[in-house]
Amino acid sequence: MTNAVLEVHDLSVVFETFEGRYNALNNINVTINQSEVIGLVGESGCGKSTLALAVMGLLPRPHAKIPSGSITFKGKNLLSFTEKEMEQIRGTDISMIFQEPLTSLDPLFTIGDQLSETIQIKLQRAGENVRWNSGKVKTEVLNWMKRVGLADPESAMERYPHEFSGGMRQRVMIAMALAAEPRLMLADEPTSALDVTTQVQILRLVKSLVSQVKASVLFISHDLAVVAQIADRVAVMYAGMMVEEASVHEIFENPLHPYTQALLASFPKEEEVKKSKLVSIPGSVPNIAHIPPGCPFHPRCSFAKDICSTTRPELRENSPGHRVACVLYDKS
Amino acid sequence: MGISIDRREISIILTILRRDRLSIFGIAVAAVFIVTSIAVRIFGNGLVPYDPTQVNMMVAFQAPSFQHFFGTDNLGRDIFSRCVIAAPIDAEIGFSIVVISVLIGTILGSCSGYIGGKVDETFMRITDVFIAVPTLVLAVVVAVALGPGVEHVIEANLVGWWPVYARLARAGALSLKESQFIEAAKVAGISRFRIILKHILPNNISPILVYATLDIGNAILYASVLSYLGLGAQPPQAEWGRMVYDGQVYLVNGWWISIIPGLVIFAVALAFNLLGDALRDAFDPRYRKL
Amino acid sequence: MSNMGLLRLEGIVTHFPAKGAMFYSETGALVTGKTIHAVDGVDLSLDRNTTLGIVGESGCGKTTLARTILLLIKPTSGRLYFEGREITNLSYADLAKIRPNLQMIFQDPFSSLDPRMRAKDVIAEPLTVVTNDREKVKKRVLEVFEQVGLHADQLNRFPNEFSGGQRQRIAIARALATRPKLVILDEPTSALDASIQAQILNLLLEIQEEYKVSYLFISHNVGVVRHMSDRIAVMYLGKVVEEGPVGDLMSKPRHPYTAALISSIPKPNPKARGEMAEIRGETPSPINPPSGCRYHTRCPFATNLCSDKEPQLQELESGHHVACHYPLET
Repeated sequence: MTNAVLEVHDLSVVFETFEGRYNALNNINVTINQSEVIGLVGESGCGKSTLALAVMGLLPRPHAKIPSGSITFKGKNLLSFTEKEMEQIRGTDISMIFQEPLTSLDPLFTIGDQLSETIQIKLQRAGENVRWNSGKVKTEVLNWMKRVGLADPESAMERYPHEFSGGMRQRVMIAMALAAEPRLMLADEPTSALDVTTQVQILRLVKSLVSQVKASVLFISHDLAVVAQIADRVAVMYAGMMVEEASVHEIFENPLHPYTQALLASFPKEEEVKKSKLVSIPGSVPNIAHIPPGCPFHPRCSFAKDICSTTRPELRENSPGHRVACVLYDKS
Repeated sequence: MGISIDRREISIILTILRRDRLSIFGIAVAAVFIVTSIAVRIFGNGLVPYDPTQVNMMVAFQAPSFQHFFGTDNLGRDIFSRCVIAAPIDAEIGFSIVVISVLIGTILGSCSGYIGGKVDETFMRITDVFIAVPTLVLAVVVAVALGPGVEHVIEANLVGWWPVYARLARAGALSLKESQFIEAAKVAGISRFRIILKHILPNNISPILVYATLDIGNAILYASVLSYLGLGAQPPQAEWGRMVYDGQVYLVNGWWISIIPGLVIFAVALAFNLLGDALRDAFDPRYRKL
Repeated sequence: MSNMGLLRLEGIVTHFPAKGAMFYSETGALVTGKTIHAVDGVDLSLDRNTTLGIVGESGCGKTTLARTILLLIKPTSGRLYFEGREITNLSYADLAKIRPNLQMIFQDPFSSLDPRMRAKDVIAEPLTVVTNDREKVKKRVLEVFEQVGLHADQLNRFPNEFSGGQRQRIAIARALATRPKLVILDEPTSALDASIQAQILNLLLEIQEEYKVSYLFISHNVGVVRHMSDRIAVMYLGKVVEEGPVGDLMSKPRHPYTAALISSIPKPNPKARGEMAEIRGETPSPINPPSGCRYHTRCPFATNLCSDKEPQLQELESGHHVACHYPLET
């Protein structure tokens, strides 16, 4: 319990828009421990990005409402923080990297400047009053650029984001996110826009740096295979609900929830007969405006029972460290 | 580029329009204006309390009162009746200018933008010439050349008006051109003409519609200015701009003769501006996320 | 044999002017040049009722290749043959006669359908080039709409009323309306959720069974391409580096890039973490492709020969071609 870096407890998020009231997240419970990488997996509309934004305090106001729940970080509830307090935390204690670094890096500043800003803040919080262009900051910037594998850091510092390729920009983003040595890094689909060969490099980089800095990671992806490469634990989400959570080995060897099983089954297998039918899930992911009552997966579930259309199952521990939200496993 | 207009869209747009007080004012005034114009064309003088051309020196220079809402002018004519009777003139001028400009400009601009290359370059240079000259100056020059009369006011303004829509349409066509559904149409073997007609034009409408609505107010304003300058509608036909001009000399002892028609012009132009503004917000996808 | 083929490409080259593009490579060198060598000499052939998969990463030119084959872009040089007849220099009007047999399904189901056209009109559009008979068109639209798994009462809806997977079905229906002989698919499932991908891929396979249509299946997702194809061609920086039957190529890749690509695919198995090979560096820009073998800057087996002389595609085993001076041993 004291090992926990972030505790999300019973969090619900609702969007009130012009076109109606959407339940983006329903009673989410998840804990991230020290030096742990949690993979958050789900398809569109499942709420994984919403969860990350909620932790960062970046949900669109005033449309996003949080009717219940808490997010505990370093002993305090982030939901009760003022904007100013959140600003203190962002980029330093909790950092975030995104899918498309071109839109998250300021095009008007060189990457050297942007990295310097982060490092200056970190040093200042440690009590050292340095200027952003001081030698000490510059040394650290160069150090970090080497660590993320950017060649020729001296001249790279003077360049602007658009002068780099996607993979290199992502490395810059990672440097910025980790230079402040945060306790928690949120990564929202950081490799989805990259080539598969670049993805290998970036995943390895993240894993090694994160253990050096001793940060925890919430790694969000729609791709279970990517998550398999990097996560210690995996949480599967569907239509605003967490349906299963377990260690990465458990999830792949012993998936319990029908949705998780179906996701795993839909990967083309290596040994299979070519051009055979893939196992697919009938129907489609529900529109956030029309989430089915009861268990949101029930219309597509081959094991659905009558009770599934009326009662939403709770996330319960099935075996130590393995939680699932499905009536199939209700021991009562 | 465009948002498809179906029933759900229309109800969302109406809801947005209802919420903003300014836009309600805009819609209200614009509606009154249009309805009055149509009514005058149907019922003529019967609609108004007094004969707009009736001279009666006995009641000249009367300030606004219960009997004469807007007062009377130097010849004793009821200004309210004259304002009402004059409404359709500016309405017709305003709408004609905008509608014809939209038609000419959109078609030419869409084609030019879609075809690209030398055709587009040449077309751009042509519109540059027109846009370089201030619209009002251009309109005045053309109107003077053509002579007085309402049709000439329309034609004079058209000259300077259409290039703006051509530019707008061209910009829309340029970005639509790269869309995947246009590529899909090419792959299907659809002729270039049909692509422009069925794909480019319908998707280009939204920004043009918004701008056109805003523009009607401007067109009415320009029409009034031309009439003020003596071009356009001739006396004894009542026309707002003309009324402003004629009443100028009496500003000291009969301010209402000039100012009130001026306020009417202002109110109507403002109304269309507000309406156009509200429409633009209504179409803006970010605004709707609320 | 390839003279009887459906589609043949001979030396297709498609270059674009670089328009002042300028950026820095990962070694810190300034990259600038006059031309983007998007497709730089490709020979391919495709027979009836088969699927050729084209695999490659960003900058390899596969999308440009697709658009060149459809003659949405004119190749800078080279020849294109469809059904034995050269189509490289046909006019827009003459091409329109061929189009019903050569269709395409695009990547993004959200922008490949005109938002202002109803589903039935979207599908009817390619048919209007072929026939004026309204009744015939209506019948065919309904027929193909139901074949892709949609309900007739949705025909009047606009694209934004459908989900991503359903929109892709409409796109598939549109491509099939004219009963084409060849359909090019450019990343048809990349923008869809994983659970829908499988549905769409299954649909595509069913349709191929039914219509005996050929597919040119382009994707960066090697796993998906492998599943759908009979043969695969691997592209790197505008050239085909390896080409062959899918079973052979996947289990015994002969080109180092192919081997690296295959092993980079993340497997849904945490125990297999150590198995992903890491390729050095990043793909160079197509503005300034490396000399000799384009892959030599990243290849662990490169020698001086590789940077001097460009390897040509050679047949190693029956039907399996590789462009490499030192093909991998099996």
